[in-house]
Amino acid sequence: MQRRNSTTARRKLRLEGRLLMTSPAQWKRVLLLGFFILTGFACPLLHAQPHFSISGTVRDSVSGEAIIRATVALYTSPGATKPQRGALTNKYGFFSIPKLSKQVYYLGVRSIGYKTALVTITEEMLTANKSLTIELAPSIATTKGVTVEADRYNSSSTSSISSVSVSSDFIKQMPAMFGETDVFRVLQLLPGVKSPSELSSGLYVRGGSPDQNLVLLDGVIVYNPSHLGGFLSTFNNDALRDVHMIKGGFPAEYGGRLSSVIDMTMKDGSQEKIQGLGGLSIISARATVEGPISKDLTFMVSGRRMYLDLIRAVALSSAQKAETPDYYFYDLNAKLSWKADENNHFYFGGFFGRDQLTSPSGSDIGLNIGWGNSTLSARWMRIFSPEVFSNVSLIYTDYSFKTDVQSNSATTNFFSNSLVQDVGLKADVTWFAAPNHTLKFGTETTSHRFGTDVSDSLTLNGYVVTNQSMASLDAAVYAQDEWRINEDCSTNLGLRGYYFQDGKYFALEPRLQVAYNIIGNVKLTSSFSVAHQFLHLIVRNDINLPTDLWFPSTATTAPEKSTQGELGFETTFGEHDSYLLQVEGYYKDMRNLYEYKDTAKFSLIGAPLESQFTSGRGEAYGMEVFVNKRVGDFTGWLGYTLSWTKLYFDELNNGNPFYARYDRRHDLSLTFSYKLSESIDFGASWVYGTGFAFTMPTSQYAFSMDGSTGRSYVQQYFTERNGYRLPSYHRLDLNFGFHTTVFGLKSTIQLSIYNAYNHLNPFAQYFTNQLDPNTGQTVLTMKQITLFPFFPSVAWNFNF
Amino acid sequence: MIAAIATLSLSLHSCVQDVTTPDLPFVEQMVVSGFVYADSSEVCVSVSRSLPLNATYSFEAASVANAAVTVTGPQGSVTLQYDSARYCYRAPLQATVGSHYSLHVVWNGHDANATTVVPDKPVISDLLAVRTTTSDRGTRTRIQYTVAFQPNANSAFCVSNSAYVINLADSSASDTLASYRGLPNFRNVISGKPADTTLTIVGNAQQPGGQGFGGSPNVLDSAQFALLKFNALDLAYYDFWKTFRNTRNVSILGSFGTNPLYNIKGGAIGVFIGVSPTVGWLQTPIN
Repeated sequence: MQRRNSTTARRKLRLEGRLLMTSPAQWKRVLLLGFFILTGFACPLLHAQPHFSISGTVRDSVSGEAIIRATVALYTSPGATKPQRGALTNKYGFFSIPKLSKQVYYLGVRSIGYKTALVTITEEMLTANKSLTIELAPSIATTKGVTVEADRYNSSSTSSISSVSVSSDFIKQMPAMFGETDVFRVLQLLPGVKSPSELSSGLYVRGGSPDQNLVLLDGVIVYNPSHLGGFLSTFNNDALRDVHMIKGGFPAEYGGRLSSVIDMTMKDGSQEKIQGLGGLSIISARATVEGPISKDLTFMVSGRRMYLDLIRAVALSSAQKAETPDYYFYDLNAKLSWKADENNHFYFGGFFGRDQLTSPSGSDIGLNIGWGNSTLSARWMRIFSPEVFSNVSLIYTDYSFKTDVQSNSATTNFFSNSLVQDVGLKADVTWFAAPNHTLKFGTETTSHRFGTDVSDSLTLNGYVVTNQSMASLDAAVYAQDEWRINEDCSTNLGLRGYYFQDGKYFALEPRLQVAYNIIGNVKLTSSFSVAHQFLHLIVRNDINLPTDLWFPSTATTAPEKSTQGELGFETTFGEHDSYLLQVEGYYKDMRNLYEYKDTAKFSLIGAPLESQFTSGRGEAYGMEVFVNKRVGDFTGWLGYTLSWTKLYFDELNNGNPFYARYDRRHDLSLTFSYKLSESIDFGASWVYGTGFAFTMPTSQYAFSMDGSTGRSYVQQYFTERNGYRLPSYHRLDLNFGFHTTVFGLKSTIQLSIYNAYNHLNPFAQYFTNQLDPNTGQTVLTMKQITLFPFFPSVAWNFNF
Repeated sequence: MIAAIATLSLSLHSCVQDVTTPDLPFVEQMVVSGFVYADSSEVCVSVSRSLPLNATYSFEAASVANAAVTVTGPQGSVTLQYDSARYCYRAPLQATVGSHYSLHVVWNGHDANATTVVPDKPVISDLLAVRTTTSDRGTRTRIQYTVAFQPNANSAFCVSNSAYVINLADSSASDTLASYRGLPNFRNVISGKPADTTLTIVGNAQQPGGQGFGGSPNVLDSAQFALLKFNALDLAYYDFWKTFRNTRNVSILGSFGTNPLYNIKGGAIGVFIGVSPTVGWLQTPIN
């Protein structure tokens, strides 16, 4: 039955592709659409009057770093309140306002956290296309926080739909566990984004699992962005310039994942001077150095190393070492930026992260868990003309996740190894084609190599490993048009086409975002998107260890597919529009989700691993409210989510629907940072969530395994999968930052308190047999694990 | 200072508390376990009930003495009689290889049934033991013994814990494997399908001058002969075994619990399985 469903889904996909490629009616529609688009662009060209473009880059006046999503508004008179035209800077700080007639213009350039710059363009300056480099000075009075672009010019822009940007400065002011600020832990506080547990920095976005997030670092996919069993993300905040998250309905330029996009950009390196940042927390040390090598060449190197293993080596006795596991992680980011000339920039980047956990020497069980990501990228950014901007990137990714358990006295031998190696080529072109049209085209091709080695979970002093290696190629092309239909209405219309070699899957993904300014600065927003995912993260549920396994689509494992829609509104209010209110409802349908069967076996000789998968579907829907104070000494937000996530698998839970483990009905977060004085700032977050779903046993029983009378095990009987709820979760975290000078270095001493009122939050509940000392009998007792009660930590951050 | 803070932090983290058992719905299950051994003149089936989680489990409280248990085989249908702990019937119902048997149990509104076949005797095509060296976690010497069965797509195979290691020098016979960590009689169940008919068991060899760990194949190192018992099982036991072993490892770290895959249908949980045992000899010590 399940296999039939998968086959049907696959046939349908192929059919969709074939119809679009071969049906005359479909071709006609495509040609007509092309005709209308082309004539739309051509109309402005019919005017005889000469036209000019104003383009350029917007940079930080101190560091020289490009400023992303700065607003460039074009006015025709100095006192005008409403701009005639405008643009947002892209990831390289580039903007273009094409097709301008010759007259005097006044440019207002602003970005949150910077002073607004005003530039006058006289008629004399417009004898040709005008290229500008605009520098914005950081504003001391305003703090960069979490921003959703809702500038007045962009009151009908689609760029804010389901999107949030978090600044590196804001992340630093947030409470930090172990003194470690973490970008993903801050993202977890946003509405629609959930954390699977206190232990994890994984992101469950609108009912999608962490593998459904497209995590990009300078355009390169990072497969497992977590350290320390998921406690921290692999991204060192000091190395990041921008973090942009799209929770759903993402434009056609993004693809390959079902649920969300987390697009991070590394710093290019200061153009002013060689400088650095450093920090010591109770578990790790980090340092970042950046600066110019020459006038046109800058670098940035950032590293972080956990030193619990060093503390263990120094502070523990031999006996203690024999009982304490050895663990460390490191990550290293490096980037070289070369400005060959005004129109050609080259970027070379690398990211290397590694985690290693080894059991203590005295343990009966030999544990060896290691995972790591390595990425390399080379990118050429070229400005062909003021209206045409392009990027070409060559990318290499190497990811591995290995779990090896060898026991002396227990029957828990286990081995799992997942390898992914990608080599990819990406190219995109942005064409500022007309005043109301910005087109973006692109293509991506990736050659994947996968290796999967797995064993059964329980064997007698050994294991049988099943090896499977696969290679596959995927290719995608996309086109999107940011079309400003009129002053009040904008749309981003796109289409992405996908081909995946293994299984010969072809898929089309329409994307649409619409924003309509109904009154004042109240904007209605809507989006629709179809997305496919050709890589599946299969997680074993029978093992208490991380067993992440990336598995590609094959002839029998269809690609995952999501169809999602959002509807919402947003508005700004308060002085300088400092407050943003955003309300969004969403529905997401997910198909071809894969899990291991309850009866899965892993000692497979000659049989493909996918024979042990079972497929199903899921749906997620809900509503999010986001109130964001964006600028000033006091910044932060209130986020609330009401949501449902249900799964439907014929072969799981007796075929009955069940809630995903991370299904959470109510989720509330209140987060802010406040500058108490020049030397002290304060941050706090309070979160509340309905308890996660879990499977509770409902009775106990025993029987003989072999017919003999002497051997019986007491077992727990489970009824409904994820049918029960853990108690609700709530927690207050505080952070105080004291700015001072230590050892002659400009420093911040950061004191964080996690779980300030010591609420014993449930991490898990389970039943276990426990001896009753009064009766001498074994009784089944329910236990709750609480991971982190009241937990203070301190960190020292410094600049040099 | 950092080390002190780290120690303080780590000592604070992770605590486990008892919590009050919530009011869980309790649905009573009938639990059935029956094995039909080839050439045995005895067929026994145990029947019990499940108990609430907050009850202290006792076999007395769980026992069911008034069920109607019927087994039907080639010789006809017989009603099993309750005999202190199990429902049994002895001669003339002697199980024969290749025969099909069905079970029907009725108790307190529960009505369950199952079928099984007594498989052919396992045919051992190869049985050997070798000493190997591995380099994981330091260099170690290991003993690996391998048994290959002739494929039989209708049955599963397993090693039994009824193995004896015999040392002729002092005329001692050890059944160390038999007490191997209290595991049930059937261990390392594999399917009888062609791709999966070789059972490999690996254990660390006894270290010179040191004590090996009890119960693993290293006991083969200190004897001259070993008698190993193998079983062919109704293939349904393979699925049950795999899922049972995995559910013994129920996750407390946020995963979910699942039930083993039983072959009893209707209003009960449990297994009804045909078994054919055989023995194999292995010469030790291992070179």
